[in-house]
Amino acid sequence: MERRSPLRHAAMWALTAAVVLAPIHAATPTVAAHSPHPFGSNHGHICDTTILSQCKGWAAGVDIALYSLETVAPHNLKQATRDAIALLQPTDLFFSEVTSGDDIGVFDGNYGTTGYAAGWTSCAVGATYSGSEASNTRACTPSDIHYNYSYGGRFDTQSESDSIACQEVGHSIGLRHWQDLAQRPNTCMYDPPIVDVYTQHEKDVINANF
Amino acid sequence: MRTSSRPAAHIHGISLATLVPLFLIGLLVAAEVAHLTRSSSAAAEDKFWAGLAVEGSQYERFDSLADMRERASVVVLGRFTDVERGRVFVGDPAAGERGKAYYLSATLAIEEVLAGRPRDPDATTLTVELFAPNVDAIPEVIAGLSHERSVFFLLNKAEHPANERIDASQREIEARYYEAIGDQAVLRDVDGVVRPRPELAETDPIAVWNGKGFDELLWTLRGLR
Repeated sequence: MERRSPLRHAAMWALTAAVVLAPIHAATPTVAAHSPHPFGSNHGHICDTTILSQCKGWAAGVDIALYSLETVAPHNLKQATRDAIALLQPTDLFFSEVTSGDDIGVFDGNYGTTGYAAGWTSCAVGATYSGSEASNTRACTPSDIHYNYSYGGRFDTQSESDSIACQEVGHSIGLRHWQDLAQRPNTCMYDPPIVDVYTQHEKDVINANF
Repeated sequence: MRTSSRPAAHIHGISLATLVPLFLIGLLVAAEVAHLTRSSSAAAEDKFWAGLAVEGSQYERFDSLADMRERASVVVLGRFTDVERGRVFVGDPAAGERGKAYYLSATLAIEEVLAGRPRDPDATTLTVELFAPNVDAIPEVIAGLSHERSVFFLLNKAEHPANERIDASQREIEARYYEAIGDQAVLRDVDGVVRPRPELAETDPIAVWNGKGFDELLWTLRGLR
């Protein structure tokens, strides 16, 4: 009987190992350098994972409550929030201002030095969650907007307050930060914002998804 | 016809034809286990930071490491060793839980002060206050504490512009805490390579460091002392 050569013997073992191990390696979750989708940040709707992430999944009506917001410039965040909502028109998305039972609650106050967040949007305490993290569709409702006067320097003028309100309202319906510096003069979704407007692109995507 | 063949080489009675491939398989399995361990750990670390990501408007953003160094009280190389629930700020008393901001207190063990100095020059640890925007996620964030060696650009809260007008007793309390100066301010050592926080935009000026050698980052920062 002819003996198999050692080299051929070794090659067959190596091939067997590669066939066994390759699927295990392929199934290992790789870590993206940047995850575009923080845990728990889908505020009541399903978001896609593109950088200019625009969201879908809500019905077109949103109940928003402006709880105890200041009404005196340069902190007139109540009017700034209403103006931001108006800026999203005309689109297929419409807001109703309520006093309770909201989809989005808006608050202001001194919240401390929050790692540099002058304003933020987040899931409300005890929110109802849906979707899944694995598919990057994690969603929650209701969600909250907070304007943080601990960073008073960002609310020194009414126009600054307006730009922050514009960005936070945008976040509340799923808009993410623009990452193109060239767009900074055109949208409050570039951070830090310097204007209180939305681009037509953002409105088009809202219409496509709501 | 008789076929002659050389006897196969053996080690302790086991032929080389068997030993060599077994050795190679052992190497492959070891490499695979190491890869799985690293990938699983790195994903968990990303999840910790993702749980703390703030979707909002930052007070200010920086265009370079030098700019961040200017703003920071101290730039530290170190790692978190512990984290627990921390302070709660009531921003809107009428709003119940929704009017509060929740923080975590993390203990940062200092490996090296790269620039600036801590308030206590003999400190071996610092307390870093981490804002937790999604309250329901706090238990999971605590359970998944990142232990990655990282560079932290930190501002002592007593020096924070937001705290300019607080009284002396409150200032003494704030002085116990440091905060990272935004989402640009933590640069992680992942297998010798720089990784920013996962939510940092790829077009952010600080994101140019993503993928570069971590030692190169350290050399650069030491040059900014």
